[in-house]
Amino acid sequence: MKPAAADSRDRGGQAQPMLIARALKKYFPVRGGGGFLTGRSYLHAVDDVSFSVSKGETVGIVGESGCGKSTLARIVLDLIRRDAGQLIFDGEAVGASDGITPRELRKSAQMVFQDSHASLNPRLTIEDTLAFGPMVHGMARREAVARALHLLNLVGLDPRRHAGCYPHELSGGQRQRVNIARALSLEPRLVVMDEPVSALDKSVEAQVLNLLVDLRQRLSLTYLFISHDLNVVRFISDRVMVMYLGRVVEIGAVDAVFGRAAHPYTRGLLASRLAMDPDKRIAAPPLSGDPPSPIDPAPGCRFAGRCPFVEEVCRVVTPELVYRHGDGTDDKRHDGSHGVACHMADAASSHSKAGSV
Amino acid sequence: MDVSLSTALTVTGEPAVPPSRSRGYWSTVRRNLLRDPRAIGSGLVLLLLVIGVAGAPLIAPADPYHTSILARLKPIGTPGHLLGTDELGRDMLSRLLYGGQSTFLMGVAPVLIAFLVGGTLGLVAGCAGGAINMMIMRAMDVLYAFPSVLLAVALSGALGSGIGNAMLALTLVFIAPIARVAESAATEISHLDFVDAARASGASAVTIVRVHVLGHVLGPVIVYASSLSSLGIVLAAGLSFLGLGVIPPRPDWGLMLSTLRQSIYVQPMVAALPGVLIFVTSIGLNMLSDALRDAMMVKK
Amino acid sequence: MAATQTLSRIDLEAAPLVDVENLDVTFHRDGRAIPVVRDLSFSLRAGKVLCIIGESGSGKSVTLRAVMRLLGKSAQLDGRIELAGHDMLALPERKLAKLRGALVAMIFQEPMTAFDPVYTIGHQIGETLRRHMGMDARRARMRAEELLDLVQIPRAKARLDAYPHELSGGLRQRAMIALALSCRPALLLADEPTTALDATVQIQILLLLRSLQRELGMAMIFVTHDLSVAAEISDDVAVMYAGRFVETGPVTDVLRRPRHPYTAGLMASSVGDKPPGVHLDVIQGQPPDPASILPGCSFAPRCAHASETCLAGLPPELWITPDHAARCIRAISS
Repeated sequence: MKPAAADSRDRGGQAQPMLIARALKKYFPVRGGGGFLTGRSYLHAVDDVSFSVSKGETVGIVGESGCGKSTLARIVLDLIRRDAGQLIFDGEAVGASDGITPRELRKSAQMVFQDSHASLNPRLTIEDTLAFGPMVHGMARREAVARALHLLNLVGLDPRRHAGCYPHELSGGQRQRVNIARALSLEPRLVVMDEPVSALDKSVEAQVLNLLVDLRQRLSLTYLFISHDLNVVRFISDRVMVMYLGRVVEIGAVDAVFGRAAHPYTRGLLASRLAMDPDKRIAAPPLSGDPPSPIDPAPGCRFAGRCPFVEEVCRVVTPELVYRHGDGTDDKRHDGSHGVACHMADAASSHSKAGSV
Repeated sequence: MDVSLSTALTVTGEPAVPPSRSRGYWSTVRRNLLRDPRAIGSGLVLLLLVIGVAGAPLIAPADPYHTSILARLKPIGTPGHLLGTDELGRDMLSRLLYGGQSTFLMGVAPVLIAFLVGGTLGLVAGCAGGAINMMIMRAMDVLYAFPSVLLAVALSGALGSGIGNAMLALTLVFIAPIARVAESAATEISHLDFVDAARASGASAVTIVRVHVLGHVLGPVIVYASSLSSLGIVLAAGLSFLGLGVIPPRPDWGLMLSTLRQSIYVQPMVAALPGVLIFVTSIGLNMLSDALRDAMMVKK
Repeated sequence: MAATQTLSRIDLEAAPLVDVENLDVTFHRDGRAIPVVRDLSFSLRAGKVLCIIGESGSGKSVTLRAVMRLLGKSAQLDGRIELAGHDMLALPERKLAKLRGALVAMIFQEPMTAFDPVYTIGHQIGETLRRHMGMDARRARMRAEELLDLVQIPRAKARLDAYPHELSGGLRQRAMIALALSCRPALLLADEPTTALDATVQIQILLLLRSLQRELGMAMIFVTHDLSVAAEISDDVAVMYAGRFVETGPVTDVLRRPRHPYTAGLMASSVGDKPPGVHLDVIQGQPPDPASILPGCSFAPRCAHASETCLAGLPPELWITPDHAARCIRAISS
């Protein structure tokens, strides 16, 4: 992790994390789920998720479909109202009476969406799309348009050729560059990226990743980067958070999670990566089955149904994150080190392999 | 290296060449419309009708109220009465020109009012979602539950005859379907990522609706309302035909159709004239709305 | 019985199962002719897997559909496509319908396109068996259950009565494979069947396809944009760019020693296991629009090694080994 350079916009000081999320929770009521006798069904999109993002750091969030990563991205920007939990941006609580309003948050935190087509208004020219945000915040049209043209330059597009275009006239990669430019138009400090390269062709994906790395350095940005692609997350992140069915199962520095994965799900996920080498083919599937439905999940560990080490305790007790320190001691305090939510990692649990991983 | 965006953005001045501009959505629609023979044809016919009806006081050869026992039910082409006369000897051409005024007013004005009211209700329902959507749309469902003709007849029957009451009845009939079209379009749009992106940039709800939602909702609603106006003409004429709209002796296409009904065996051609005009207007509006719909389907 | 089997095996060895020669696919839209696939030739033996690798718009899916003649009326097919001796471009629609399913079947990225949402899985597989194999309802149901077992769907008997939307993504994909295999096709066409799946499910489906293909001795043409998927499943690969094969050969040769700059560029720009933060070597620009392709090498505008010669005329196919070819003037010298 690189220490962030001092920034005049800092409110909470250099060591104050850019974003702290505490016990975020979001359940969506499911239409038609449950009869009047059984009560309502809920989709547990995000369940008790806590993490922090330091200044200048990139935190990657990986997980399969239904793990809640996209909901989490929208909760962080308050586009979806959280049911419970706290968001602290640069030391100030979002939505609290002594903190900052969601509108103030959105000046400093922006989002890049996966679907470059749906995330651009087809009736607005690229220039108008880019000028919209600054104009909302009171910038004169002339100035906002001038900024839009420079933003296009910044993301590697030609202002003369592309500013007057409509989104459908651009390729997927160019549209995603426009999306990135729009996110930057308000000079944010935190950019939340929801699968920004997943819909792109491989050769274009690499171009956009290079751009993101370059912009992060030039504009001293902090990223929260969501993807299902482990290789991409490993490439761009300093720290990684692995989610499964709305909960964090493992969190830590990228080397720790990719090199010393402790949770059976993380290990399965890592082993499912394909090598680009015909001699390194995978002989047997690392995990069986699909990720289960996040609607009314069973109690206990969410991964119990697919876990090869499942025992009685896993189906009863929901494991909490246990953090391990460099000196080999464990505790349940969050301090940015390698955390695992598995009974096997918790020496105090009644799992027969407790404390073994 | 710590370069904030503002520093990065102030390195160069204005780009040397102004950006090339692509054709916008509405100008594409206009171009498509002008290339469509259906739109041109129906547009010209409707324009002719509107000019004739609006200019009735200037064009009409005779007083539409002037009766003549001697000149009753003259055929088309009678000297002095180009389109013949009706059962009271009044000049048909003049009565048709004047009669269009009430028919157009009763047919089109309610659609316009319903377009504003229903469109707004639908837009609000679609963008707000949740309980507000529920309240508005369930109220619309109640109106929608009745067949439109039946509802129009029942309402104007209850309100009593007269142009004002007929217009009120038709407006109420058209609000619900227009609100529905607007609501479904607004709901679809407001779930797209670019609306979320606009919210993320801190824009207020009104700004988001104005810049990002309205344009997308307007198209389908205009197309739908224009197709409704053809129904409006028919319904307006129908109400007058039933005696629930215009009160005699004022001329009106629907009412004329009704009174000339008895003379259909004496002067079938003359008796059919108001019907022909209702038919032509309605088909014209329908074709125009079809052409408009096609013109709005701009390739992505 | 034994004699005929030997005979048919000899036949298969003598002639490839799939033989495509000089295939051109042209789409006619708004009075314009857009060449999407140009001068494609390849053959595939029974029991082999060919991966067609390409980015969006390269013409890979169109090629796959052309083999089965699934393209609509706006597509004009020229050249020759032969499947187990049948001239696919000459066959009337009625005979084609018989071959589809029995000789050649297809699986898609989105299984919901293959299933009718209003019928159960068992009903739809049974229906295919009754129509193509002439089975009665009871035998068809038994066979459908065997097929669901074959694709490793747990509790196959109960799943027969499930509707497509009641299955999870991975199970639905398995059910679609079962449907495609129901008439024992000799050739399976797969159009990015694992692209929409989660990583842990993708590898399950790839391994399933690999083992089924081996067990049933089936040939497979597998279209993907992902080099690592090709590495996992194919015997041979064909890299497609702007409607042409730019490099073909055994998977090991092509991925180890790519000879076309596009293949090499794709590999270099894959994030793979590259260390964090390095600058990725990317291919600049983007693929050309099929409606406006220049003469010469289509990749030349993006190629770092392009010269006057590349723009002047279409580079010939150069053979590096008897199986490995690349359409690049530098294929042998580099």
